[in-house]
Amino acid sequence: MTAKTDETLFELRDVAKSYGRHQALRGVTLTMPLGSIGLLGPNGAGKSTLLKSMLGLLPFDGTATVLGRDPRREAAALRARVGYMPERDCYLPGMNAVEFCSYAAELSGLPRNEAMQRAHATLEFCGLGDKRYQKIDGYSTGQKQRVKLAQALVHDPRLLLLDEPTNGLDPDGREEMLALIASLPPRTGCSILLSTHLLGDVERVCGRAMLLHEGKLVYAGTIEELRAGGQKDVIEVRVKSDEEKMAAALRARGCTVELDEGTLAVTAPAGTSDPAALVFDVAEAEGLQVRHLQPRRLTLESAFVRVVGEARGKEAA
Amino acid sequence: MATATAASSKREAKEKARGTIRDQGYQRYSGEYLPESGRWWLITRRMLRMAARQPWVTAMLIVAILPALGWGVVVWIASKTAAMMAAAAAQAAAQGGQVPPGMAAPPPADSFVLGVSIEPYGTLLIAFLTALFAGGGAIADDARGGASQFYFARPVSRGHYLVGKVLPPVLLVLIVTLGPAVILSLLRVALAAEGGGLGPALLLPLRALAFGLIEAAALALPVVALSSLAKSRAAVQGGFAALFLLPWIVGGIFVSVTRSPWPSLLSIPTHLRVIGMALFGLPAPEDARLLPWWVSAIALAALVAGALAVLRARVAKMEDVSA
Repeated sequence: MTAKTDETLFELRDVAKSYGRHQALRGVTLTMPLGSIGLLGPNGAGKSTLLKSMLGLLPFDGTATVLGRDPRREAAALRARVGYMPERDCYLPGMNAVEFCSYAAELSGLPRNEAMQRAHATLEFCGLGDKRYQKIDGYSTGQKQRVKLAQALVHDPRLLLLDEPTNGLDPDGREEMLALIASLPPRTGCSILLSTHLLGDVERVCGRAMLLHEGKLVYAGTIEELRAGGQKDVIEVRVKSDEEKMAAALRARGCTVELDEGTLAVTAPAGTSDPAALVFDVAEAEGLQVRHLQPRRLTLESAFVRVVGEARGKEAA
Repeated sequence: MATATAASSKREAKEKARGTIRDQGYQRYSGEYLPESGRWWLITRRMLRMAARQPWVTAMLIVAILPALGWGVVVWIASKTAAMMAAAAAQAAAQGGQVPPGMAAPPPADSFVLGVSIEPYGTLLIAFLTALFAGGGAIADDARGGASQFYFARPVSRGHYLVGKVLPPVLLVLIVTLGPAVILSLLRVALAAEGGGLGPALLLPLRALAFGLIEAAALALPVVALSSLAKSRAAVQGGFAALFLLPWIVGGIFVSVTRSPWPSLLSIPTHLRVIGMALFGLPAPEDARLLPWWVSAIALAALVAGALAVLRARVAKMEDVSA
């Protein structure tokens, strides 16, 4: 995992947290660079506990630095630079969105005039410009999600912690929310830690991902590596006709071949320097036309299932 | 031609202005961040603003003035009557006549301030209602709206949060209790300056301040503590009304029946009355069965300490930002 540099977003070393007998986090160690990171894991994996620990809200064992600060000793200074969008409802009854966001900005340390100015700008950015004087109590689910994002953004955080930001949104609302989130890093240079169970959200926004399973870190790296993990030598091949003939010919040359709905998943024999060339040779010899050839890439969902499955297997062993 | 040019430059200026507005979108913040030390005041200020929007709180602040006005008139009349009686007594004495007993003795000055402070027809009930409306939702509303995560994911310490939540109802109750008492005290000082007896009258504002602080703490802290235990403002208000009224009413009945002051041990209004009378140096009425002042002092101190302990414990558990 990446070594700590000035570009490090957070570094965790043996971070552990127990609630009585239940171990919510079990020795999580990783270093993540600045950027957009997806925090994935099934329910109860420890995602929320990790977020709380990183905000300095929970005591934990091990060491951690977030944005170069220790969450336990410099919690206040850290939280002034972090924006948090919670999963659950988060508003103050009786307030309108402008009051809510300017109050959020003031609590984060902005002077009153600046806070008010940024509240308007942030609400405009989040698409609530014309609703900003309405009481939040009466907002729709989508509007409440937007105001939660606005209060997390208003003080210009360097790190944005987003907990299920598209929860309860219809497809259009979800797309708009993801577009808003994805536009933030290029606009302000902030980093994002997106905790979600919707893998599509992570694919849309993040370049990296970390997977937790039963409190353990089971993957940390790029999305591309996650998709390719364990499948690096497999190439997908489709031919114009007679896949069976192609499969038999490849097997005869020592390849392992799986045929699934017209697509061949081909693993070349060990020591093959250029598996693609081998496939083309075989096709030419058999008089078949190759229509599609590329290294196999799993969907994020199947990669997730694979990594979690492997973790379960290791634990069972 | 000139008109066209002028119109064009006007349009350009308008466009430019529009462009400026568009450019004020969300962007990096390059200004200063203030230190964390003043967060409690931000919370207090916001809560006071929200309380002022509640019609009942505003109504209580207005109604609280009425007893002061009524008692002000009484104080003025009593003062004038006492002066007239004193003059008449002096005249009778000069003429060698007998002074009727009680004629030269003015009514006890402090009783008016006490009356406006703690008697049921004074500000006590108004102070109770103010605490009820201003403090009922202090923390319960945050729990209902999930706002604890809003506060604690920011550089806001639990201490700042606690002070910010407790101070608004304390201040509002203090305004309700202290305002009228201070007005009356100042009136007494003014009248005393005319008719003598300035020294004791000068102590009145200080006594009123001390009593106002005790009353504000005894009423506001329990209601905010109850607010930390529930998510519903109505449930908190119901609970506090029961805590305040039931021991008072039921205790009063039992005191009459048993002719013992101890059934009123759980009555907050009774304790406040006892402490008020002790503070203002007034003797207990003959028919009153009141607890010793030190029992009331211990009871109120226990109430305030218990409320603070509950608040501290509940706020310490409010770290749950994403469960």
